[in-house]
Formats: sequence, C-alpha cells, structure tokens
Amino acid sequence: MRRLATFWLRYRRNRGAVAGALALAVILALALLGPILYPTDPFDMVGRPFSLPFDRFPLGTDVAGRDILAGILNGGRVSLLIGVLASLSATIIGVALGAVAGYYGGRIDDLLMRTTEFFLCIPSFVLAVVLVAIFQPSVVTVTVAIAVVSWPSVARLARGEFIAHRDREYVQGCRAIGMPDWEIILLQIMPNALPPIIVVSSLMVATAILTESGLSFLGLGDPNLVSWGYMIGVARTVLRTAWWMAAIPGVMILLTVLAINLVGEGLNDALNPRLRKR
Amino acid sequence: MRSTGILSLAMAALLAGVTAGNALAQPKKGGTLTYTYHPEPTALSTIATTAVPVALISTKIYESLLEYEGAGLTPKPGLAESWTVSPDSLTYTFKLRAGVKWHDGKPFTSEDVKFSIEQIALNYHSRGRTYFGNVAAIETPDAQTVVLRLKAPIPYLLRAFQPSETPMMPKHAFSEQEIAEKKVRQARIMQEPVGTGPFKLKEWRKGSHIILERNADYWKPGKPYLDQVVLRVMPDGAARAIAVEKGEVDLAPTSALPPAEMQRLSKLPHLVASEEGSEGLGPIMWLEVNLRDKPLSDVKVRQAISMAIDRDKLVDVIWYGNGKPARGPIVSGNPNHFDASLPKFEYNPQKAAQMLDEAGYPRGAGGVRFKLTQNFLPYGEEWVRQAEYIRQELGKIGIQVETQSLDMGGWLKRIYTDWDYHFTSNFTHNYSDPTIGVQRAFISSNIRKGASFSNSMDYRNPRLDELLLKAAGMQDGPERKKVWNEVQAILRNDLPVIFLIEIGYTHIWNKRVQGLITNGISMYTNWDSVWIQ
Repeated sequence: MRRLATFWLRYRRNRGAVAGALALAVILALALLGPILYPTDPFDMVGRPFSLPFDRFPLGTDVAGRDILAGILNGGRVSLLIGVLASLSATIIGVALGAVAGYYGGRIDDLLMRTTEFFLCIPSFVLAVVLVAIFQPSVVTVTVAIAVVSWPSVARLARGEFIAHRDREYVQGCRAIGMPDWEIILLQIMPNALPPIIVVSSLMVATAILTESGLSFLGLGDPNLVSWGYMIGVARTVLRTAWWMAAIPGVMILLTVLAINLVGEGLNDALNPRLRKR
Repeated sequence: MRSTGILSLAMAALLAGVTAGNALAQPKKGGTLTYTYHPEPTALSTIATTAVPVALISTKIYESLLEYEGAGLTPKPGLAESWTVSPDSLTYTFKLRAGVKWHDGKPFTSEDVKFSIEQIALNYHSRGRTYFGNVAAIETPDAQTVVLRLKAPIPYLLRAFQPSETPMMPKHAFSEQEIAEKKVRQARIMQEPVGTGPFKLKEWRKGSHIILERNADYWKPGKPYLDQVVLRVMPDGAARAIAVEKGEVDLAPTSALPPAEMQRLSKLPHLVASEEGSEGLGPIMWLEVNLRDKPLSDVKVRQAISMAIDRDKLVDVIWYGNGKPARGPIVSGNPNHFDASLPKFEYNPQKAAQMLDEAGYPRGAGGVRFKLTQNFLPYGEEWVRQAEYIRQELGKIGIQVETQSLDMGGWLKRIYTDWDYHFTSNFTHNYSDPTIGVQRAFISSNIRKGASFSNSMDYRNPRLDELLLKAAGMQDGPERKKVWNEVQAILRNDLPVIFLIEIGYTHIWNKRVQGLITNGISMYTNWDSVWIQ
C-alpha cells in the first residue's frame, strides 16, 4: 500500500503524465463503452456519402456513407486491442529471451543475441508488411507480426538488466542456499529488472498502434474490422474534397499515441528512482 | 436611349456570336489533342498486348478493314471499300481501297491483309483464335481483293475488323526470321509502328509522353483534322485530374481518373463527362460463385443473395454513379443481343431472408445461418468498398461473410487454379458479340483448371451449352436473338454468378474537343474526325 502511495506521489510530479493518463482513460472508456452506447455498425451504409460533420451524423459519413463516429469508436477498440496485445506478447517474448541470455551468458547468450540482431537489422515496418502479406491480413496475423518485429528491443534491455543483477550479492546468496535457476530468474531478479521494461513496453503500445495504422492504411489490415489506420486509408483518395474524413481518425491516433508516451514518461519517473531528480 | 441602343447592339452581336457558334459546328483543321492515361503503354500495337493503354494509342496508328458506326457497331467501309458475303455465310470477299500507303510509303495490298490475319492476329492476338479459328483459307486473287473461306460460319466476323482487334500490319516490316522464330512480339515495329492510320509516331519519350503527328498522305481526303495527338504519362491520379481540370490535358478516356475526382470534375462547366462510347466493350461485373459445395450449390441461396444486394446503391455510392445495375449476362448497351424486356433484379432483403428460411437454412446462434468467405478482385479501393458493402448486406439476411484479401497473383490462383473459394467479385468484357465475351464464362467445356476468366464456378447446364454452341454458328438476326434471349433467361434464373453492375467507362474531356463519340468503341477508333474548337 505504501509503495503504491509513493509511486503515485512520484508519478504525480510529472504534470504531463497526469494529463496523459486522463486522456488515455477517456480514450479507453470511449473504446470500451462507445460501441455499446452508440451501437451503429461501422460498416453499415447509414446515409449519403460525404455528409459533413455535425450535420445528420455527429462526425459525418465516409466515402461509402458509413458513420465516422461509429468507425472511430469501433476502430479505437481494434487499434488499442492490437496495440496492447502486440506489445504484451512482444514483452513476454523479449523478457524471456533476454532473461535467459543475460542470466546464463556464454553460448546461449551468443545464440540468442545473434538471433535478436538478425531481427533488429531489418526495418521493422517492412518486416511487418512482409509477414502480414505472406500470412494474409487478419487481426491475429497483424498482432503477431507487430509482436515479432517489436520484441528484440525488449530482449536487449532485459538482457542488460539481468547481466547487471546476476552477480549481485543477493543472487549469489540465493545460489548458495541452492535455489534453482528458474526461481532466481523469476522471483528474485525479475522484480528488480522489471521497472525499465514496463516503461519500454508501455511506449511500445504507441509504436504498435502506429504500425497497425500504417498496415491498415496500406490495405493490410483485417478486412473485416475497422481501425483508425483503415479509416485514413479509405479517406486518402478523397483528401482534396473531404479532408476531415482523414483528419478525424488521424487526430485520434495522434492523441492516443501522445497520451501513451506521456504515461510512459510518468512511469519512468515513478519507477526509476535514480532518475527522478532529473 | 443611347445606352439601350448600345446594349441591344451588344445583345445582337452576342446572339450573332451564338448562332455563329452553332453554325460553326463545322470541323476546324489543326490543333493538338492531349490525353492522359495510366499506366504508360508497353508497346504501340495490340498484337503485343491488348491492355487498355496500348489499345488507346495504337488504334490511331493502325487501321483494320472496316470502320464502325453507332453503339451497335454497324460495319462501314474502311480499308475495304466494299465486301460481299456468300448466301451460305462461308465466303467473305473484301475489295480493298486503291492508293492506300503505309507510313513508310509502300503500298497496302491484299498480301498484307492475308499476312495480318494468318500470321499475326491468329497467332498473337488474345482473341485471334475466337475470331479466325474457323477460317479455312485466305485467297488473294489480285492486289485489291481478299477472299476468306470459312469451315463454319463466324457470326461476328464482320465485327472482328476493328483496329484494336485485327490491326493491319505491313508484311514487309517483319523479317522471315521473326515470323519463323515466333518473335513477333519482340519485333521493332511493336515500338516503332508503321500503319496506315491518320496519325504516325513522331516521338516517344518513355515515362513522359508520346507524340503522334498527322499523316499527310492519309487516304481520306482532308483528314485527319488534328495536327497532333499527344499522350501525357502521369502516374498520380490526383495530378491527372488537375491537368484535366486546368485544361493542360483535353481528355481522360476510359475512367482514367479516380472515381471521386471524376465525380468532382463532371460538375465543372468546361468539362464533359460521358459514359457513351464504350458499348462495344461491354464491361460487366458479377459475383462469381463456386457451385461445387453446399449451400451455394443451392439455387435458392443464390437467388436470396442476389435479392439481398441493392445494385442501385452499389452504383451510386461505391462506384460514384459510374455504371448501371446489370440485368443479365449481356450488357444493356448491346442493342443486337440484349433482351430489353428483362426487368431489373429485385432488391428485397426481407424476401431474401424468407427464401433462406424456406430453403432450409434457419438462423442459428447470433442470427447466423451459415458462414462464407469472399474474395474480391484486387483492382483498387472501390473493389474493397464493394466487398465491405456486400459483407454487410449478406450479414443482415443471416449469412456471415468473412473477407479475404489477396494480390492479383494469389487471386488468379485461388479462383482459377485451386477453385478454392466461395464467391468473389469479377469483371469481364462482353466485347462486340456474346460468343466472344459471354460464352467463355458459362459453357461447361471451359471448366479448365488454370484458364483465367473461364468457367471457374463449375456450372454445367447441357441446355445452355447447346444454345451457346448454336448461337456461335448462326448469323445475327431474329433467330439468333431468340437463342440469346433464352440464354439470358436461363442464366438469370440459375444465377451461376450474381450479376451486379455494368461498370461504366467514363470519359472526361474538355468542351473544346468535338466529334469524339462516334461509336461503341469510340476510344479505340482512329479519331480522324475529332477536332478542336
């Protein structure tokens, strides 16, 4: 309880982070509750195409007469879901590989790190495009593709943390009493190594949302689901006649990514006490 | 008083100007017509490929034996001054025009005609076999006479002599080696054309433009009116639209602009947007349905699907008004074969749902009767929007549709080689005769693995096969029309494909361009009568 209180005290000091958390809460609430409170199907042709915002429909209609507000609410769900799931899976993969590599060192480290470097040296967006194109776009393949291109940075970070901790006295103490390796990794080092990883993976959510938007914009999103990137892709061809159609989902992506970055900053301040007096 | 006098004088002058303007419907010589299309042609002959950009430009350079008038393509004399058909329809005799010269100055003779059909069209044109497969022999009794002897009647033979379909090529421009080694498509003439047409190649700067200039020795006296025809290559759709809007480009043929831009430009006072002039191509779009498995093998299900789609809405919203709801396999713009008594397909989702109930597919959990996967032709944005619309409408009658997106190669493989699909949007051309464009998709002998735009549905109807073969061997007339009417009725009822819309090709041009629309293949004619005001 006290730890949580000190965490909040530290977090609160960063005003931007508080604003980001608020904005993120609002966006999450919209994505979760929006489709329930505003149950229009985002693919339904509800009215005349190209109708202006604040006319018959709150945010107007798109090129095919579909309600843009419904698209924003449902698209938020998809964008956030893919963002969170992809970054969560990337974190799990990255931490697992990084922990093993960092803890054991030697050949295992070499093998795992060369593999990681292999992924790091390919531009991540290009690799994601290739993966989705090969495995056909669907919500699962897009999430997996984003996770696959995102884990290497987490792995490098986790490895660094584990190397720093593996020869500390408390770890040596654990070894001396005969604690098995998995217990040392999971229960002893992990809690100490986790704070910087949490920061990185929270920022990764933002990158994942951007990657998903990029894929959808290129027409490589799940064709059965609306996402913000898809909405921009649809509006792209009519940018000269109806700029707002692309601007609305664009602003949503901007706000979400900004909010997540601010929250990540706040987490960094709160979880890394060494940096807190920057 | 005086000011009124001046005013009325001005009015009179204005009126005179207006009437003069009308009387001035007399063609004017000179000027340049600039058009834009993307992509750039890969060659300057439809023998290399019949792709739209190639056909657009090469038809100004090459001519065929005949010219055509009106949407129904009534044959008129062209390089052939006159022709006769024997009563048994097995012998066609063409009298060639005297004094016609190739762009290099050599005379055009019956030998060139024989060569163009036997060696070139038959072997290299993608529809050459359909047109000339039944030709037994071509005789050239003298330099101005060509006689085609047929094994069986070819009812559409007189429509085969279009500049894009059977271009006349100069025999002397090909080496014997090119013919013997089947290297015709690599011949130099594919890039440096020598035709008989009203325009000849002046300059081709790849990636930028092609300039055709007036052929001063053209056989029609006083023609062409234009000094030059210029193709400007512009890869970006928005840039093409701006060029047309600003008047830098006079013409954007065959839907050369993005639909949203076409809609915007069609409202501008100085531009004309028209769907006329492509009746001879007859583009039609449908949902191709795999009939191998249940539930799509059930005709009731297909009829319900057909009834669940609002074709008017598709045309208006997805295609920005470019097109018409289809009423059967033959496009309504084809006056010779379309059965005008056919009604529109009914749109009635309630009835569609009821039909599915009756057919034994009750709604299950979540209102879903059964699930299907759909593919779509990967030709661009509109095709995706259409797939989304169809998924939505079918969802309302309890058919849960999942959309799968594939690239062109993957699509062709899945539909025509693997036959592994439920339904997909597809788009083909009727061409000038249903035997050329319609038969191939529905005749059971064309259920061939790997053959694109064939009968991928596995549709087998012996009665229809019989009718299609019968029509292929008949001369056009009321009897043949009756056969086609029955074909249309059968296909409308069986729905081996769900006919959706006749996609319109929209041509947009500046009002100063005159005389552009002359027949059903207006963009594929030689533009010798086009002029600039």
